[in-house]
Amino acid sequence: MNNPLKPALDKKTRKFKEYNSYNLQSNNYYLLPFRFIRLDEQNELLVNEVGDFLIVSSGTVERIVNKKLDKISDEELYADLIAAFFISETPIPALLDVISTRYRTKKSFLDHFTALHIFVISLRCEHTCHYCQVSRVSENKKAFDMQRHHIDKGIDLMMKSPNPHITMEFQGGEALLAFENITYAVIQAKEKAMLLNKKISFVICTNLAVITDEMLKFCKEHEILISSSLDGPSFIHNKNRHRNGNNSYELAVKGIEESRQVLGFDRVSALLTTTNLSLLYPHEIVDEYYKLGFRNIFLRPISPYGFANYNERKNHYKTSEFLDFYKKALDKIIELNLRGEFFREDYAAIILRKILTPFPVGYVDLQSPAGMINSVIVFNYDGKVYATDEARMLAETKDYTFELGSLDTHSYEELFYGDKARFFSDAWTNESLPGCSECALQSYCGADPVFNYATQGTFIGHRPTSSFCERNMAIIKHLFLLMEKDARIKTIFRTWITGNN
Amino acid sequence: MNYDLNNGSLIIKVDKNIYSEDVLYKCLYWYTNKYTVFIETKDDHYYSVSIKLANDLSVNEETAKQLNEQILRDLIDFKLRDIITKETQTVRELIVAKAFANFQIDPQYDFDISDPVGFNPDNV
Repeated sequence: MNNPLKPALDKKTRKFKEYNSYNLQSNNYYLLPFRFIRLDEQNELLVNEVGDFLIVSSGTVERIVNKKLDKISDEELYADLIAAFFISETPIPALLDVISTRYRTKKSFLDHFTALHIFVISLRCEHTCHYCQVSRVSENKKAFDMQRHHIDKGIDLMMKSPNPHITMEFQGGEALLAFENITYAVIQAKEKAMLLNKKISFVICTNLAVITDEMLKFCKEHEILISSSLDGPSFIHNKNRHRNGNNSYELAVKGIEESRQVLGFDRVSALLTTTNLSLLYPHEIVDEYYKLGFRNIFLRPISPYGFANYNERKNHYKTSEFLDFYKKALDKIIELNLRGEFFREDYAAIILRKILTPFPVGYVDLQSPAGMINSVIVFNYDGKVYATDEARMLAETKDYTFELGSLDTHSYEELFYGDKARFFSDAWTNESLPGCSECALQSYCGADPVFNYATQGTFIGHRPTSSFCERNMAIIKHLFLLMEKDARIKTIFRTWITGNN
Repeated sequence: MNYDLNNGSLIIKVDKNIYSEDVLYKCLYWYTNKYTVFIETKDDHYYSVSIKLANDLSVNEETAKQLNEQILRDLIDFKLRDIITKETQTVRELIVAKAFANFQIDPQYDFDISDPVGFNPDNV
């Protein structure tokens, strides 16, 4: 009797053929879609349709495109280009389906539609931060708190999202000033999510100044994440974030500590807003986050929306100044990592995940199609529905361009698939935007019609003068150059994606 | 690429046989942050491109020389990009179409499915 195992044992286990088993005589190859950019005088960066990259010496693209590569003398490059889908030996690549699957994976953030539902639960705030885009110092609950019937309708719409995992985020003003509305909303949403078998996460954005034990107990019970604000050491934080008593920093630090004790260390995050003052202190800001036990920081520029635009002296700076700040802070962070301390810069980590993995990132500001509506929606305190958080900030300065409708009068279909949503869709894919369509960094970047409109007056925008473009181009190129310069930095960057130290 | 300086504007002639209109516009688009760019069809063979500083300052001789070299280099890059875009258009469309094609195929077997434990999948 034949041994059924024998053929298997006889099989060669090597998956790849020897290089010389291929036809080395023919130099006929076909280009596959890719884009390129000069990283510096010596290097060109090639990025294919699914975000895979190669860094090659200057002049290589010209040789590739003009079919000057030689299989024998350029053996390594040729093999890399074939393996990474930059060229093909047949007009239609044999692994076309693999490339398509990779492409679909890169865009898989679209599969489930809107995940993040922002409820602006109150516009009231006890802070008067000079960069704030929206808040009001007011005791008038009726005018500036979200009404219960709007909360109910917002929850109903949120439950209609096809997404099986939704996030309900409470924003302000200071969200905790309307805590009784948060408790109501969380309990209502949880009940409905359970009936529909949806997974729901809750986030409260708060400055922590008014948090109490009772609130923390509720957050613990319902597994609510706390997203707070920390602008750096007290001399920066208190200067940026005004409140009576000039003690915003002290209350934030106290709130972070108490929240960590009750909710757990990783259930509390902090966000930085970079003002003109911050630009002078990149190292001090990183040190402050490190000192407070954070192992990550999100180096964010100021949002050019709403009231923030009014205070030019404090909130306006050139992108080049922000980039200088960013690079100095990043150097400091890398230095910490080189000393063996895990510490991550979140914006870099988002981009690195796009560069170094086949997967997309759930970060609404760097998506194409844009995060607006597709990933995020905002239910404002007054019942109006906006395409993004930034869109409602614009509305606070009486610009209602991105208002999709009202919770009182519009259906889910009218809000999410209506004429306005379709109108915005013309400008929300960077694959089709001027300046972006042939940009090598396209798959690591995104489209942001709201930002374009707010800063340049059009949804499409003008890339040569866009601070969004300038900032992202510079940061992405900088990350590539850092990895190219020092293999240890590439290893550090990988730990930022995996979280493994 | 030869150039002239005329009333503070850099004037260059771009050969239509070498650089298409697409390439020319895509390349010069990136100069519109600092410069005002005029493109004219001079004759059947050349485009005439006039570039001046957006704030109406004159382009001096040194800037003109550097600018001319930079534009030439960028034109070559954008021509390469144009070749890639046009040559790979069909494959790119195929990749995207296949990526988002919305269908499921029920496996159709052209042989009898063995049923060693008496579980008939056809009855499911």
